[in-house]
Amino acid sequence: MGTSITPTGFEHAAAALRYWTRRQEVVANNLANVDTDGFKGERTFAQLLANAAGPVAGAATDLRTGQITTTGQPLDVALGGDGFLVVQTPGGERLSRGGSLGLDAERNIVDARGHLVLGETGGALTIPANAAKVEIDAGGNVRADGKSIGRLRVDRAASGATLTHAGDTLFEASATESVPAAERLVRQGAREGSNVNSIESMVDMITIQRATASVQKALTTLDAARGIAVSEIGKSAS
Amino acid sequence: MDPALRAAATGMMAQQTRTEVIANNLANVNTTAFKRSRAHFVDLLYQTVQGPTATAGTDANTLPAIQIGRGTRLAGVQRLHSQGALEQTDRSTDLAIEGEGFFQVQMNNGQLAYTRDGTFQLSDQGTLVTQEGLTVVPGVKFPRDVTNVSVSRGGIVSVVTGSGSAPTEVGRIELARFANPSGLTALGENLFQATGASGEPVTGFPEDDGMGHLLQGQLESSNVEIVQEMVDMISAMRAYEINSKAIKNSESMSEIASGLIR
Repeated sequence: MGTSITPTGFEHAAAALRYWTRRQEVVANNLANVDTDGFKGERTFAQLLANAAGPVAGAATDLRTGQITTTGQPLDVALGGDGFLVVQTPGGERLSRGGSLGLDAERNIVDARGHLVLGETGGALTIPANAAKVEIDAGGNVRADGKSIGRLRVDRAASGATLTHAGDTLFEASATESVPAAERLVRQGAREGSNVNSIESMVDMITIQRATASVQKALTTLDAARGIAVSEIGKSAS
Repeated sequence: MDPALRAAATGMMAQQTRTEVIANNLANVNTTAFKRSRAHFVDLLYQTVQGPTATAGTDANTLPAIQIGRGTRLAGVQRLHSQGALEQTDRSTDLAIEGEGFFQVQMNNGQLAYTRDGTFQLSDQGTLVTQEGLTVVPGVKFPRDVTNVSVSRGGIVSVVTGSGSAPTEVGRIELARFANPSGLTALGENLFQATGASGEPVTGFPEDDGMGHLLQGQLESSNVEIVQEMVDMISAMRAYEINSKAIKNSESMSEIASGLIR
């Protein structure tokens, strides 16, 4: 006799439905952020684990660079390569792909949500009160009216470290390392768009839709087969 | 409620806000010295699902944690201070700035405001004022019998009076500029106010470093480009549509799930 009272076919089908639901949730969030500057989409994939019935959803952040648009705004910053700016949030340091930066009331450089953007010395970068021109070069050096006021900290997730979303288009890495000056590619007057490809997402949604319907059919068929087993086999035995 | 439904709904709301900003830009396509705006968004908090919890039994695997986002929200609307095209008007008191400076005007409450709109005129007191009658700072006083006004690229205002023929200098226009013009607050009527985020105004004469020069008899037109706004509008429309598809998809998945029970 079987060891489990739960029919395995059902369990696999339920796992598959859970997997496709997760996938739909991820696609919906990607699509909601199709216009969010510096957003990195999530990709889901199915995993088969030794003791789990059916597929289990896994996800990875798609780190491809989004489309870079030139804006000419002095405090719009985009980063080429895999670097991130470091911002100070109440929850600790977070990574940001830049975007439309601004100044707070003390003229410190802040991100779109008002978090301080950190310089390499650890503190904020403050633009002097009477400065009229801010320049940021590819290495992240910030100059106000030609006078250096510091250098943007540009970090990346260390190899093997996990990178997680922290909301406000920020990321949290389990370990970071500084990006060497030559690989920084900081671009002033530009911003990076979302890297979500809406066509891919649309195709993904169709797949999800069809797959869910097929799993439902499989479940219904399994259920019908069991229904027959219960009613018909019982009958012939009597 | 299904998180996918809610995330897609925030996406639709974001596109609606974006369209509102585009509509305002388009409404001001002929507003002198108008600067277009752009809405920008950030993602919402993430929920970690599955997580490193044991599934069952002693030999169980841990499931990989995955983060499910909750959608998007508006982070701010940024004004883009790029140069608008110059338009010839041939009015001697119309001034355009080619560069980054702003004219300074005194508001009725005594505070200074900044504008790029150089549609000036002479008041009955003989001073240079804006269309709304606000005085340009520093004040330029014109004699009663002015027949000809000329403004140099450097902002020097000279006039020819009824009796004489040689131009005499009556004042010089000063400009102000900011480290972060996007941080200026718009007051309406083409006026802006300095804030902590814009930095303190730095004043100087036209043709000084970065201030830009003045052009007499010209006005700066709006920096809204209809084609750009149209492209943005189409992309907002498509993004709105695709988010509505995501809602529909999530909805039909719930329907499939509820259809499992016969």
